[in-house]
Formats: sequence, C-alpha cells, structure tokens
Amino acid sequence: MDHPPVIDIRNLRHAYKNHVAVADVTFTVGRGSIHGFVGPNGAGKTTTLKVLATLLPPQTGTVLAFGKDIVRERNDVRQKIGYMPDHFSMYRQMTVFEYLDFFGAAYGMNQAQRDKTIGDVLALTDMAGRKDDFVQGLSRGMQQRVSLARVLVHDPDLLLLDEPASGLDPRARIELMEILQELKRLGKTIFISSHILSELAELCDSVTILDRGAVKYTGTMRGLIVGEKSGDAFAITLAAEHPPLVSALSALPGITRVQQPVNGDARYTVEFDPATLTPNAILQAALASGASITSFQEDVKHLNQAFMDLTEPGVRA
Amino acid sequence: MLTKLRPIFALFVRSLREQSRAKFTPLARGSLALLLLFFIAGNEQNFTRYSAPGQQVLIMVVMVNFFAIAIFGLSTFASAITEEKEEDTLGLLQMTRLNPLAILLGKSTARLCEGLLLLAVQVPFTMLCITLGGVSLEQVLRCYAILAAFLFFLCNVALLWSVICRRTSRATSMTVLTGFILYVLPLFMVSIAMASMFRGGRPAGWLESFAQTWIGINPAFDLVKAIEPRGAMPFATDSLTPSLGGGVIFFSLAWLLFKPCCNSSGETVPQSPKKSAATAGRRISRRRPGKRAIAWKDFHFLGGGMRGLLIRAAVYVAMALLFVWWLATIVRSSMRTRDVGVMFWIFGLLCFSVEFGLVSARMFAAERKRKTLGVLCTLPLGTGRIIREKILGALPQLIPSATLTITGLVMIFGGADGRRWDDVGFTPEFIAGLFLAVSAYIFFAVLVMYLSLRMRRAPFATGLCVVFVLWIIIVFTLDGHHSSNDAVAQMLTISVLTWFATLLIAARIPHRIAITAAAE
Repeated sequence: MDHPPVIDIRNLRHAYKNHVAVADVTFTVGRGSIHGFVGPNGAGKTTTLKVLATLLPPQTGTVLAFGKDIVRERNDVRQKIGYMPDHFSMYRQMTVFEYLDFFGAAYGMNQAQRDKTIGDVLALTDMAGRKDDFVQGLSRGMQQRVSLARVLVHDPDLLLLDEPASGLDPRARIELMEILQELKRLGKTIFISSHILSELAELCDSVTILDRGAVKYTGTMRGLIVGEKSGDAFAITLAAEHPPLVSALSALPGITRVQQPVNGDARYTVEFDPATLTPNAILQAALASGASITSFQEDVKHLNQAFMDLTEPGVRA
Repeated sequence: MLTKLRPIFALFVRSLREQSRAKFTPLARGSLALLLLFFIAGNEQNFTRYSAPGQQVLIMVVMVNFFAIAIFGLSTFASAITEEKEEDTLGLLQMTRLNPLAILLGKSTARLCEGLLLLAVQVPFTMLCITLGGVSLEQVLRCYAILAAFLFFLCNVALLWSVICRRTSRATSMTVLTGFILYVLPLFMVSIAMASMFRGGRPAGWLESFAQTWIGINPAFDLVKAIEPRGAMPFATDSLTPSLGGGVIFFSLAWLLFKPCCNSSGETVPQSPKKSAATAGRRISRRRPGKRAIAWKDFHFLGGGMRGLLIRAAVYVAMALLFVWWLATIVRSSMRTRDVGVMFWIFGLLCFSVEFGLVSARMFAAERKRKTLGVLCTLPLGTGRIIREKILGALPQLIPSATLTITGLVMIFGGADGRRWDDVGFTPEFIAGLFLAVSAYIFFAVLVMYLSLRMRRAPFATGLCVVFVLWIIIVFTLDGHHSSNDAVAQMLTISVLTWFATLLIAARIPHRIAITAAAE
C-alpha cells in the first residue's frame, strides 16, 4: 500500500499585511527522505516552515502532513513533528536532562519512557556526558545538539529544521550532518532549510528551491544538478587537446552530442543514451583514440551554479 | 567639533528617532492630554462645591504623574543597559565607535527625554487649572519642575544599577532598595528616634533639623509644599537641587563604572563545569515533571520552586513584624492582636497586589524574552491548556502574601480582643464592594498578561497606570452620589463592565500568543 507523502503542500500563500511572503508554493516530500529547502534571504523559507510547524495557519491552499490537515488536525500533526527554529529557544537555567525531561512530559510521555528516550537521544547527539550541565553553560554547538535532542525526544516521524548548522564551526557541522544521516537510517523524514549548499548536496535526496515566494525547482537532487539533458553526460579532461577523440566518440552508437573544448582547457563533454551505451565503452573508445586522459567523470552542475541559475539576483522588494 | 560629537550622540539621536516613529509615543501623549481634560471637565462641573477647584485638579494631576514616574521609571530605566547584556548585544555596541558615554546617552537619556516630553506636553493643559482658581502659574511650573527633577534622579539611579547588574530584575530590585533607603527608611528612623526622645524628654535639635532636611529633599513632601504654599517660596524648591545633583552624580558613577562592569568578554563564557555540576547536584532532588509539565516548569523556574516560596514567606513575615515593631515604638504601647492583624492584613494585601501584577506580567514575558513561546506552541496541547497550566504554575507564588493577608484577617476577627465576624455586616454595599474589588484584580491580571504579549517593556507599569487612571475616572464619575442603593447599583454596574472588558481582553490572549509565537 502506498503511503501518502509526509509533506503535501498545495498552492500555499501567506502574506504579512501587504507583503506576500509565500505566493504559490506547491511541493511534496516523500517518507524517509532528507529534503533540502533552499532559497535566498526573504524567499519565504521560514514562513513555509512555520506553516508546516503549525505556528502559522495557511491563508490559502492546503498543507497536509502525513495526510492530515495541519489546521483541522493540528494536535495530531504536532505529535508527529519536531520543529527546531533558526534561533536558540531554550530554558537556560535548566540542566540538559531537565530540559529534555520537561519536553518529554509535555508530550505526554511517562517517566519510564522519558528515561529511555532521553538516554537514547543524548547518546545519539553525544551529549550523555553533559546531561547534568546547565544549558546556559554550554557552547553554541552543544546547545544546538541539545536543541536537536529536544526535537527528537518524543520520537517524531518528521523533523523540521530551520538553519540547524548556522553559527556552528566546521567540525560541529560535519557531526550534525552525520547525526542527520543516522536519523535518516532510523526512518525519519527530515525537512531541512539551509544556506550551506555544498552540505545539502551531499546530504539531501530531494530539494525545493524557493525564490521570492515561489517554487523554482522541486525534485531530486540529481535532477537539479544534472539538468535538462536528453540522456546522461560525462566530461573527459585530457592533458592536451586531442582532435581525433571527437571522431572516435561520434562513431559510437548512442552518442547524441560531443562538445569540444571551449576555453582551451581540453575538456570534452559527451552526451549519450544510457540505454545503448555505457560509460565504460566511452572510456575505452577514448583510450583507444590515443588520448591522454586526466579525468573521466559525470558532467553535473555544481549545486551553487544550479542555485544561481534558478534564482534572481538582488534583494526582494 | 560637530564631527567629533557625532559618535557620542549617534545612538541618542537614533533612539529619539525611533521613539518619534513609535505608535506608543503619540498614544501616550494624547491619552495624557485627554486625561487632563477629563479631570478639568470633571472639576468644572463641581465648580461650586470646592473653594479651589484648580488646586483639586492640580493635586490629582501631580499624584498621577508622581505615581507614573515611580512605576514607569523603575520598569523602563532599570533595563537600559541590562537588556543589552541579557541579549548579549552589549559587546556588539562596544565594538563600534560608540564609547560608554554614547551608549549611556543613547540607551538611557533618550528614554529620559521621552519622559520629560510626556511631562512637558501636559503643562499647557494643566495651566487651565489657573482659570479654575486656587492655584497660580508659579505653582504649576514648580510642580512640573519637581516632577522633572525626580524623573531625572530616578532615571540615573536606575541607570547606575543597570550598568552594575547583569539582569533587569536585579537592577529593578536595587533601584527600589535605593529609593527605599533614600526616601522611606528615614521616615521610620526619624519617627523611632523622635518617639524615644519624647519618652526621655530630651531636646532633639539635630534630629529635627535632619527630619526637616530629609522632608525637604523628598519630592513627595516637596510637591505637597508646592501645591499648598505657606508664604512665598523660591522657585528652586528644596528637592530640586538634590534631585538634579544626585542625578548627575549617579550618571557620572554609571559612566565611571561602565567599563569595569560591562566587560562583554563575560557574556558568552560558559559556566565552569565544576560550578555547574555543584549547582546541578542541588537541583536534582527536585520532583520530576508530571502531566502538567508547563505548570511544573513555571513553578520551579519562574517562581523559584519551594525554596523561593519559603524565602518569600520568611521575608514577608520579617518585614511585617518589623512594621509592627515600628508602629509599637511610635504609639508607645503594646499592640493588641487585632492591631497586629491589621498590620499583617495591610502589608499582606500590598505584597499580594504587587506580586499578583508581577506574576501576571512575567508569565508570558519570560517566554517572549527567551523566544520559547514558538516551541511551546508546537506542543500538542493547544493554547488554552498552555494558558491554564501557566496560571496553575504561577498561582503558588502568591501563597506567602495571600497567607499573610488571611492571617491578618484571622487575627482581626479571631482574637479574644478582636471583632466578631458578625460585626462585619454582610450588607449589600459590602458584598458589592468585594465583588468590585475581585473584578478589578482579575481585570488587572488579564490586562497585564495581554500587555506582556504586546509590549517589550513595562507591561506591569502600564497595566497599573491604566487601572489607576480608570479608578480615578470612576471615582470622579461616582462623586456626589450618596444614596446606599445608588452606590450598590453603581458598583455592580462597574463590576459588570469590568467583567465585560476582562472577557474581551482574555478572548484576545490566545490569538496574541499565536501571533507572538509565529513572530519569533
């Protein structure tokens, strides 16, 4: 039996007085995936996240989480989501354990359940050794871990994370990404808003790019970085230009296009039909032509480039 | 020259610009002007009943202003620097070209200017008192000069504590303590010394001169003198110079202590693990949260838990006993149980009223400050339950003052020398009055709760001023009706109107919570 998408947003619109933050947003997020939510400042990401977190009601359109309407079945949805805002929202005079214990109790868990879950989430976030420390005494990275532990304490199926890596040092970021990978393995769906595109490219299965309140792209990460090509594409970089390579490759069945170097960088791009030709065959043909190959890799756009192509320059009016 | 001064006044000018753009500023000035016109119109109707109606209006206006300055001054000026410390933004300010003087001017003096402008806007309207009779132009100007000097003094006392303390609550407490030591404590000391000297029959020249000086520099007494002059008075009244001089001294101290007390390097230093663990060890003995987790959190972390309750109870009892001892010394006779009960009741009710307002103000203000309202609102509980649990968590904080009040009542009516319950006479007036008082308390709590969701500063002070002004308006409206039935009918009508207003405001609170949570 097919499960409904974990997030199903259709024609969402939200305005603050005269300022339309989200104009017409439609996308879905599948179960058990990590979905990146990207956009320039003021694109409407946080507004969309707040709607998903049930903090803002959608003015028009429908928003479903696990097939449930986030307005009509708000409390059911809240039980299944964990929301981490883009700022620290912590009771700093509590200890880490008290903080998690409070939220566990507020979600209706009994003491035994709380003890077990808090132990698990502290172990997952590597904070077990600091459970009796006061939140206010923790570093920024550790507070972020405690925030993540708080989000997980009631075992939600969907995590809504707004800029979870902002302000963290490189090590803390990498560790956070590892925790998120682990959570994905545990079956959680993670909806993550971030500006750090390189990390999202490695982490996410799918992505939605938002600009000026409208969706510019929604789909798989691969679809975004490969772009609109007729088939697969590979780039062959040589030590020096080698004209016979073009004729050798063009002679292969299934080749749709061979692009010659444009900037004198000896980089050839080959587009082909994957049903009739394999990358292995292309590489063998290139070697047979006598070319001195320095690299052979799939021709994909960098996420930064894809992002720049899809979004408009300048600040939103 | 101007270029050199520009950085010093940069923050000051920005604050003034922000104030001029804020909605609150014209609203407050307009409300004040309307209130004054209301007072004058009210007195104009009773023109024939008073010998000096202008003086009556001036007394009322001065009373409202003095009260507002004391309340608003504490809540507004004490947070001038501490709010930056609490948000960890003082370091950012210090990193700019702004020196301590510029920060002090920008954060505190701009607020002082707003207060002074609020006073200045009233002067033309208050001058209408002169036409009503019983008061001269010089008296009006003298009163406003005393009030302005008092505002200047209070602003700088609060500024000094705001520089020294880390938290606004501590700065406010220290400002209150300073005011108590300067203005109230001498009253007790002088009265005790006078009483003991009267017993011994010795001359008390030094004491009399001290009492005279102290009464002179106290703005409250000085205002009384200014309104009812006995003979010619110089424009520079007794309290004017000490208030202005004291203000300058406190500002200078704040400036001097700014660098040593506002070292931003301490803002983000994590608590040492040793200290953290030690304190945590003390806390682990606390009971764990149950089904009412929010109530548990507020009871322990907002109200201080059982320890906070015991400390408050001990402080209240000690202060009440001190008050009783003071009165016994003054009247030079042993106090009866009933008299002690009256003291306990008055003191308990005063503490209860103040705590009632503070608890209502802190309930949501604390969540707003920490930006935790959004996370609370994503709990699967619903806004109604969050509000109920927050009220449940806050109520125990009122136990010590409520117990003191009830103890006072029991001593009044239960002692051998006390009055009997039957003496009270549960007349319709008594019941209507009680109902009105309860309605007013609940209205005040709901209003302060709502204001704490709308205002960043001074919801308690604003709520108190609104209730105070409404009370004065009601007293004016009721003036002249003496029939018992009329009084009962009026009190019941006002109670019903109060409940109507309470329900209207209460209905807006869940909506306001949702807006505030979403805006974090």
